[in-house]
Amino acid sequence: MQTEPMAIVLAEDDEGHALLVKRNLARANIANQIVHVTDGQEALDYFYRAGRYTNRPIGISLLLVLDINMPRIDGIEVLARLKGDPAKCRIPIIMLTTTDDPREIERCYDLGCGVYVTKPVEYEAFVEAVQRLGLFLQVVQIPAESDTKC
Amino acid sequence: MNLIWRSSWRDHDAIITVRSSETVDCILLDLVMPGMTGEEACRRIKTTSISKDIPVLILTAHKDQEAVLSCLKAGADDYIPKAAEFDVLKGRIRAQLRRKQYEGENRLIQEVIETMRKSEARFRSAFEHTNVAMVLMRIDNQIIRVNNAFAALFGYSADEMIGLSMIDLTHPEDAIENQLRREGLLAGRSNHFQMEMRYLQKNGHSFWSLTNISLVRSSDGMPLKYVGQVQDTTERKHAEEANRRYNERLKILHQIDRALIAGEVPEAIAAGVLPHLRDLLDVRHASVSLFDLELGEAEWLAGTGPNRVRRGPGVRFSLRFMGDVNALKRGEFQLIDVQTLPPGPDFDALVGSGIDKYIVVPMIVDGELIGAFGFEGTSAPLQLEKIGIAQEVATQFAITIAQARMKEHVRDRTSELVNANRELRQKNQENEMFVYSVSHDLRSPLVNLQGFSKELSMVAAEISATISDESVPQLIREKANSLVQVEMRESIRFIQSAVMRLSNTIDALLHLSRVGRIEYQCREVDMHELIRNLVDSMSVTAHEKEVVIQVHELAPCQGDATAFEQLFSNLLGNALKYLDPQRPGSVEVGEIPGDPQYRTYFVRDNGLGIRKAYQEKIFLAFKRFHADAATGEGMGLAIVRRIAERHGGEVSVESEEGVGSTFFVKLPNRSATCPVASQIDRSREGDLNANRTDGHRVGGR
Repeated sequence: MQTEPMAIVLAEDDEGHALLVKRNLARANIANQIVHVTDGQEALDYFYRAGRYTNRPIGISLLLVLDINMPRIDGIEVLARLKGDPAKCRIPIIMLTTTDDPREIERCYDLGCGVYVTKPVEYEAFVEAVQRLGLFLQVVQIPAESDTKC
Repeated sequence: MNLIWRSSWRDHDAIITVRSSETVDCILLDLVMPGMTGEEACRRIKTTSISKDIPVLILTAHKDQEAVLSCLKAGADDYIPKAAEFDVLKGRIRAQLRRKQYEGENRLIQEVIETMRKSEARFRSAFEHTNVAMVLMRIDNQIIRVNNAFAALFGYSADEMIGLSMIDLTHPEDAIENQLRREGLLAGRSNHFQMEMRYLQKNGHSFWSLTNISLVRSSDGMPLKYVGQVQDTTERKHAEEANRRYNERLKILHQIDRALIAGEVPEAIAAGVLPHLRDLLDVRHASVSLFDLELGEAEWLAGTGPNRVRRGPGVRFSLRFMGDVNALKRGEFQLIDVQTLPPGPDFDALVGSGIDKYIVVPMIVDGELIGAFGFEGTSAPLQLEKIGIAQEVATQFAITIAQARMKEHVRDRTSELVNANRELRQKNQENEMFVYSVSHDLRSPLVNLQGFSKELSMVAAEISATISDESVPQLIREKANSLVQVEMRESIRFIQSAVMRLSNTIDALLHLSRVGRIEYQCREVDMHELIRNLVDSMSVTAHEKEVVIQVHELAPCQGDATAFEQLFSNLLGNALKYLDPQRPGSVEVGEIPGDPQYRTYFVRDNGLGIRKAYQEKIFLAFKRFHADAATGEGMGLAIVRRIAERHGGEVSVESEEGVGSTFFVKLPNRSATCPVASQIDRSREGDLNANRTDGHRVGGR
């Protein structure tokens, strides 16, 4: 089990969704640091230490919770870039979707996403989903950022 | 001369011996001999045909006049006294021999004369009476005599012909060869020849014959006259000629046929056919034009032969050049005299091309005059055949043009349809993408609405807990409670309910758009099993509502199994939803036999039924007619229809209010719109679908 601190990068353009995710992660007792980025470009900047994240500390394990529909660079593109980069491809990515369209989900899988969560509208279901996400986060093996080789 | 000695002349055998082994020129007989007297021997010799011409001389010693006389009577040719000088004997024998020779020659001459006389008579008789036309000509070809058959053949009387020159009766084209061959006879290369040649009759008509000419020479080899035999072969010649022409025409017609088939467009067909037609008609100029009756113009399609103007598609000229259009419409050909045409460039071109008369043959198909063949010529009797051929070809050509036009039309229409279809499909896809993205975008704020309304209710609960504290003044607590517990909760409930409805609608829209976008994988679907499984999955509901579901035998059908499942799930779901409380529910699934290319399944219920006016509208999205009977988004039947149509099938309904409804699903047994199932594994999607009701999904690879 991973003992190092693990940060969750939440790529979500909808502030409301982000807030709901954060609150429900907290309710599910997930206390990890959550970095909120609001579009795909910012997500990539974070992982590649570019833009405003040029000086972010390295060495922490990272997990990306990625919304599909975002301005500038969408989630699918971010997924493709990270999974296509041998240095980043082991970063676990959880896709956050508002659709249950099988083709889109299949595309995420094809690109290498390990998990996806469909954003529900029913609050209880959403909580349950986030809780599952939280449980999942607790058990998932998060590699340190430094030893990422696929 | 041989001298044969016999000592006696005993019997008849001796004569036979003479006959068979020796040539005897003369016989000397002694009058008195042993066995047979000279007289008797002489009689026998002279009565035997073979020896009767041999001269017999009697030798006698006596001057016995009686004996000599009797010998002479017996046929002896002379007698010689034995005492006579040898020279006398010799002379008399020689005289006998000469006499014999003379008589022989004379008889031969007589026989020859007789034979010739008979032969001449036979020849003359044959000449006169035979049906074979015969002629006797002098070496200079002047006619000596003809028989009646000959005269009749040439249209003269026999007497009229005598003295005419055979050369004058010979067709000029055959005269030279005939003359050469006669010269061959005269030169002695042969004494007979045969040739096919033509003669001229008195009325100027020519006829074909098989002619035999023999040269008769005199005994010393001088040419005397010709004997000619003429057999009228006009009919045979005509038959042969007709046969040749027929074969030739057949060949060309065959080529025309091939040209007709080979061409795709009228221009190409015309260009392919015309050279052959020209050959067939044996003319220099031939052309095809199509008519524009409204404008009174004709357009060149193709033309062959020397011409002064550009011809071909696009070049137009007045219909006046085609003659009487109404007559053409009736199928009558037109003979056009160029001199009667109006002056102008077209007129000049015709004159310049050396055409003074031409024939126009109409092309008619389905009673419509579409154009004409034109070729130079007159309406002389010999032309009628050509016109007939041209009419035949024109008819075929017209049909082919009509077919080509139709094909072109069909091709155009087909490509229009293909384009329209493509556009429709594209539009449809765009629509579905639009619906998809709009629904998608609508969903995002809904997450917030739902999420934060729940947050609010949690806050409300906390406020309630907070103000229930003793320290809060009674009045404020009551007021706050009323606000939070009643008004706030009510507001939140309204928000949530609206959000739920909106969410369901968006889900349905997404669903419908997905029905259109999803790629089908076709395979043979066991419909019976599929329906049975569906019915099993609904058995709890059916049991609760006390509905009996009956499934008949169903034949398998080609298509996408998941889509079929969705389709029938909707139909069966509806049947269970819209029950008539007046009677116990009964649902039946079956199949109607019919066109083997299709399967027609039905789902029949005895539920509420649908009013006639609504029956077509029920397949439209968001249309609901029993909103009070059950909840729903009004999307089910739209999905049913979309699935059936995407499989190349259709759905229909028969329904009566208060009796029930029957939904028919007609699906092609081999769906053209549906690719045959490939290796793609659908199990994953199946899992996803199974999880759909969860509202969320966590999956992993």
